[in-house]
Amino acid sequence: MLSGLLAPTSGQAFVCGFDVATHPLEVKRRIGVLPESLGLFDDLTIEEHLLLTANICGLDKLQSQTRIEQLLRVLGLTEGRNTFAGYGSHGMRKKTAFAMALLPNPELLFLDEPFEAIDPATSRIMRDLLVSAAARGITVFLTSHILPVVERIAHQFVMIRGGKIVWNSPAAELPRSLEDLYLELAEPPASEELEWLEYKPS
Amino acid sequence: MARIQAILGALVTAVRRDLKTVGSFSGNNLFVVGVASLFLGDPGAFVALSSFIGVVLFIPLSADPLRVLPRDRLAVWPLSTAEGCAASACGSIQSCGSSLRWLPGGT
Repeated sequence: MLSGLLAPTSGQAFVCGFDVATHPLEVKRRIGVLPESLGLFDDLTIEEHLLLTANICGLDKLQSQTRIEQLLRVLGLTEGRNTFAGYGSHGMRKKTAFAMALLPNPELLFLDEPFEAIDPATSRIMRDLLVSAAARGITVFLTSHILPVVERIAHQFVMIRGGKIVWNSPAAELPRSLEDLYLELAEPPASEELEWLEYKPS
Repeated sequence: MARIQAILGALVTAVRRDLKTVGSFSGNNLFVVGVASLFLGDPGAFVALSSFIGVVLFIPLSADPLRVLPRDRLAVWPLSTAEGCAASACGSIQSCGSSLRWLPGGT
């Protein structure tokens, strides 16, 4: 809803000082979004996605070329730049969508499950980029179930269970590990033993 | 206008490439098989129907631009209401060219 994927039904929300319901365009000009679905054209190459994003966001030619080349290099996509998104690995697709979110140099990044289903190297690259972006004043708002990774980079944690906030605190105020807290507050694990699950020589 | 041109250009490129693949020949197979089986008892009607469906499915307009236009991406791009409507319309207009749209129950 904050990123414009869903229309608000009631209430008010402000992003970068603009009401998302009344000034959605002003909001979208200031944010970068990595949707869960990634939102890629299967029949466009990775480089074409970035060029298209640059055109949509109104970057000039020199800015586009410089940023695109750098993003391709940093995210390890240079060799695969001519790969169609539909034929790329999940990691490659996710990095493409991530690069599209970073390209316009947004004030705020919304990332939906950025660390899910990607290899450790990609995860590390994305993590380092986010830490670097945050250090330069860009707000990063991400949802994730990969708690050990999130615990290393986030400054503020919010847990939601059944549509309600069950925890909201700065990282320094976490009483125990994020995973333990999550299991306690949001989703206690089932503790049933599967007695039949054992090795039986045939 | 530049934004719409960029989206339209991407859409045309994507559809053109999609048409070159077998992926464009997709349809509601259950519907086709269901209707065809109704005419199995009448060889003449079955041949006529099969020919019609065959022609429709193999006209190289079966690619659906709405399939190649990612809705989530369209929603997060900084497009004005008019630009957003124009981009959706581009997809919809091209979609009308899909021969599968002519079939009741087609995708």
